[in-house]
Amino acid sequence: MTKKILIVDDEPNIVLPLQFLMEQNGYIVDEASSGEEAIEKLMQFEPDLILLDIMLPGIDGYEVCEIIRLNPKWKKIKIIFLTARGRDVDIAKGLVLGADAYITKPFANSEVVQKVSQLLDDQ
Amino acid sequence: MKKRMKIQWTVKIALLFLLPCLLFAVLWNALSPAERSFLLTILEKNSGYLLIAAILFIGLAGIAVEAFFRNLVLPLQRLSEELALIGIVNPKHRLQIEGGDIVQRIVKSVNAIAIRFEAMVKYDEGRIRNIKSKVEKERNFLAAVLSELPEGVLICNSDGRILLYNQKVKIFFNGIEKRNSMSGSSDNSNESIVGLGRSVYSIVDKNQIHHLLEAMTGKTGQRKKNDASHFVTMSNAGSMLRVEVVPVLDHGNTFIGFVLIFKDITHQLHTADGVYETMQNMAKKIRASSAGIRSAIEAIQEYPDMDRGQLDRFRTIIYNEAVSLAELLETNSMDSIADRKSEWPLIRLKLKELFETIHVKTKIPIKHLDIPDDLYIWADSYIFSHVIIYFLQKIHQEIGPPDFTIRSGISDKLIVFDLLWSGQPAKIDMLRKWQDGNMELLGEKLPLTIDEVMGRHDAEVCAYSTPGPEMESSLRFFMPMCEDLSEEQIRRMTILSQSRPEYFDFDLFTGADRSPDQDKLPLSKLRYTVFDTETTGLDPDGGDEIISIGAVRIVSGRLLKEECFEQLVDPKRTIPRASILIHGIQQETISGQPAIANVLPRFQRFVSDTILVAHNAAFDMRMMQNKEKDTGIKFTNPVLDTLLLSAILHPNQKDHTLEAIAERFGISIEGRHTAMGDCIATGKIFIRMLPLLAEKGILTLEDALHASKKSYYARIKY
Repeated sequence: MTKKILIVDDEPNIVLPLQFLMEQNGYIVDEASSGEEAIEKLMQFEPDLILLDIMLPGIDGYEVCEIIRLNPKWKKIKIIFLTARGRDVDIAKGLVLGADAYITKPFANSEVVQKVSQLLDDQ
Repeated sequence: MKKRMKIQWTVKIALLFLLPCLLFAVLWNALSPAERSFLLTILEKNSGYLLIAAILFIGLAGIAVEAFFRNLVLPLQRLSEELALIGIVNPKHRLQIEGGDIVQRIVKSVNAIAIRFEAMVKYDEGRIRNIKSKVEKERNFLAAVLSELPEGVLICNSDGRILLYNQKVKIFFNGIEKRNSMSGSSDNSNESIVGLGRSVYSIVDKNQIHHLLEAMTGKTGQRKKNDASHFVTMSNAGSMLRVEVVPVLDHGNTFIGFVLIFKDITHQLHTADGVYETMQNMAKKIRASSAGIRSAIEAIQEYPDMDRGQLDRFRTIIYNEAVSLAELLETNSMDSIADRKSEWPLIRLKLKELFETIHVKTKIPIKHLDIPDDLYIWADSYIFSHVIIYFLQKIHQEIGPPDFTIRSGISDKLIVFDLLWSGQPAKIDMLRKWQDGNMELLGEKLPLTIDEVMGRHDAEVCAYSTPGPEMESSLRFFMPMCEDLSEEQIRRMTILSQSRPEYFDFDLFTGADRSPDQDKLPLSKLRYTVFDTETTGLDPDGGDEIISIGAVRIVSGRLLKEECFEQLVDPKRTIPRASILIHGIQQETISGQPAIANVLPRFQRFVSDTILVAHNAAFDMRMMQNKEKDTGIKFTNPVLDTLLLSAILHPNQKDHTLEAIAERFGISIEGRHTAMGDCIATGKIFIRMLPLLAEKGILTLEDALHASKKSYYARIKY
């Protein structure tokens, strides 16, 4: 079955190449530009994996992550933080909150593809 | 009758009766029995004549003895008192003693000597004045330099008693005091007063200073090259102060005191915050733009045969992001990030110690502390401990666990610690609200949010919980681990060389009062507050009220006129004309002044830790005691009374009024019957009394209080 990926970022210039990249790798892709939109899309789109930015308008990425992890229905969704916040304490916090991986911007496309396929293949 | 008079009369009577009897007894003893009976016969026969002779003899002898006392004994007693007065206190004083011829001759000679003595004293005083003025010049120079400094400077001895401070410190910490005395309202229990001889720990946290001093000097007094020497505290006006602690060691490396340097960093903090924010934003933008460029280029390279439309979109992304990177560099925001050091100093702190302090400070029960010994963080211990206490309080109030466990460890070069409790976890929005709350210190809100303080410490927090029947929840904190210090951060230390530099002429560090037992200390070493009140009348129990209080401090035998307390009081009643004639305070002068209930708390703080001195103190103390019920303010300081002390020193002088004593001591009273004028005069008198008291063997407070109690005037009770 084709896996679905939700890209959550408020920078369209990042969403666009990522979306292309993921589609080229055979995933179905949707995108959201805020925390609130991400949660709506979770229910409609039911993704297998989320590429999640931390600094979002409104509900931030950490909180989206917490909300996902609090709902047993979404337990299987993989979360990769994809963010410009690169401090060690941010990464540690993200992982504690239940993220599966953490990628800091700027990233190599191959790094994202590798992490995504690794996480989705494990299932 | 005075005790002394009783003694005099006993001596006189003894002389008059015992002497003749004794003579007779000696004579009687020398006679043979035949001669004795012969004598008895003669006495019996001439008893009438003998009786008259005896009365005449006793009368004459009585007059002689009285004359002897009046002309010689009493004048000599006064002579000895007044000689001490000339010798020790007032060389201008001249003897004016009535008495016999010999006494007059002595008085004449003594007065002649006194004239020469006065001239000598004047000469000596002139020389001393010259030397003093030199010293004073140096002292003023130092004071002037200190007062011009933008920082507050405060020097303490090893006990934390203030030896020297500049104007800036006073502004930082006495600000509230000033505001209150103007508006007349007072009570703020945090109000603290800076003054010579006062404890510095009323304005800064003792633990904070000691923590640093210990870290710097080490327990053995050896210099250690670790740890910074700063912390941040609050001024009374609510600004953030950076405090640098500089220990002072003598040439033998013994710790004898410390210097505190205060700098207002409120403004810098805001600027630094701005810089921090700009940097964070820039980093975020750079990362985002380069991510877009890199991702797009990599896609183009990886998929060379992508369709034309897709390729154009990626080219546009690369172009736009490149432009926005260039724009980012052209804005001034780069320039504002000069290479500036943060003015908020973080010190290397043992995590365990931080929580031990918190454990002591907060009432919230921490039942278990599970923290390894070797974890260090960079933190402002004072502020950061308040952040933790803030979170503990919030959890306690809003979730309600009865107690906490603190657990910590290391994970990937990060220090991680948990505030653990059993029960529900903190909700997401709850935690966000807590983080947006303002920092509070000593009941005052700081212009900083908890989140900003966390950011300054590079700390992150999140809620965490382990599900299960006994749900365990926690707030988990992440902080960078503390690495070694760079050379720049090594603190300063002052070591006095054996020969002092010229401008340093205070004997500042020798006055440490080691003994807590005031009673046994020499009077000259104690701190006093001399005070006086003006009242509506002389009957404290008949409704008379205080209308003015003046007070001034004496430290190390010096009257500190610049550290005074002067306050008019609205007595809430009319002032009788008779009393206006004495003190000159009119009804309209006192209208709008604070009531006694507002003044006494401030006065109590001013006099705290000192011995009260007043002339006829019983009256003033009674005035204040009568307010005890209404205000709850009780003055428990020891009290010395110059009236009683004068009676002890000069029992043969009849007049112990303030004027009479001042005249004897050669002191002029400026502003008699104003609270301030009278209390300065009382202070000057008291200082001059100290050597005279020492001569009489009254050396300690205990001696002085004991002697006062015994003194005749002590029986006057208001």
